[in-house]
Amino acid sequence: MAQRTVPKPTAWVGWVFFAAAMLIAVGGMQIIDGLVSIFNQHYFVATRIGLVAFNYTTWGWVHLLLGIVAVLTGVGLLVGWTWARVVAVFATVLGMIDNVAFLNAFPLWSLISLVIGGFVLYALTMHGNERVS
Amino acid sequence: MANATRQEVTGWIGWIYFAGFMMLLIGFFQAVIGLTALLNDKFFVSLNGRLLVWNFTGWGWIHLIFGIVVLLAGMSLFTGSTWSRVVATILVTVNLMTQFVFVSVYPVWSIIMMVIDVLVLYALTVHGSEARVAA
Repeated sequence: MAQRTVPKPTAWVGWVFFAAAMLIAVGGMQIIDGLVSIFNQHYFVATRIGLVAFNYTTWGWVHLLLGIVAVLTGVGLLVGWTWARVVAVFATVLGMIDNVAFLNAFPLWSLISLVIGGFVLYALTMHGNERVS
Repeated sequence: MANATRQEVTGWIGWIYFAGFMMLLIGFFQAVIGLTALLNDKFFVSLNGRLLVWNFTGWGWIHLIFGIVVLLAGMSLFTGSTWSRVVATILVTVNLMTQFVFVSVYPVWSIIMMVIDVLVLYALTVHGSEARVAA
């Protein structure tokens, strides 16, 4: 039975939808992270001294913007824009760097975002081209 | 059934049933944790209970209702219809984000749920279309 080798493009293009779902999820998490960082920074355990480069407000805006870009490109992947794949890869890489820098504030949140970002990158780079054709 | 012109059924068809059963589990656990939050919130306070938004009663209702909805969506997956997979995908993605907010209250539980969520999403999106052929 299981001898299907080349995935045929159907209405339900598997890996791209997986990447889109993961991208929307990780973008939502970034947005939550950013909003908490801007408006409710006492929620985080680290002190301001423990943060790399910026303070909570600045990091919050970085999270928020990257999160919004991730959600939008996730929707773009579903709609089928080709360039959304390229933007998604860049947004995910930037988001992962961002999370490493922010690791001190809430390690668990950053780790979860990093793992899901890894799934996005795998799906987009290894299986991203199934949408074309 | 024999007119599988667009895509063949592979051995991976089992993934849909896997997703269905996993969603039954997620829904059940979610409802249990919702009831716990509603009836016995001391259970969470003893752990590192920091809530981001709302209180335990609010979260309890959210988890309970969401659990039941996920359970029903998991059952509908066994019909093999496309809309059930779309609904299930949206629900599980939302669940992933909900667990992210709840993770500081009960980290182990939330992380287990998130892992199951990602597995379900993988099954639904990557192997989802094969259910239509098989049904």
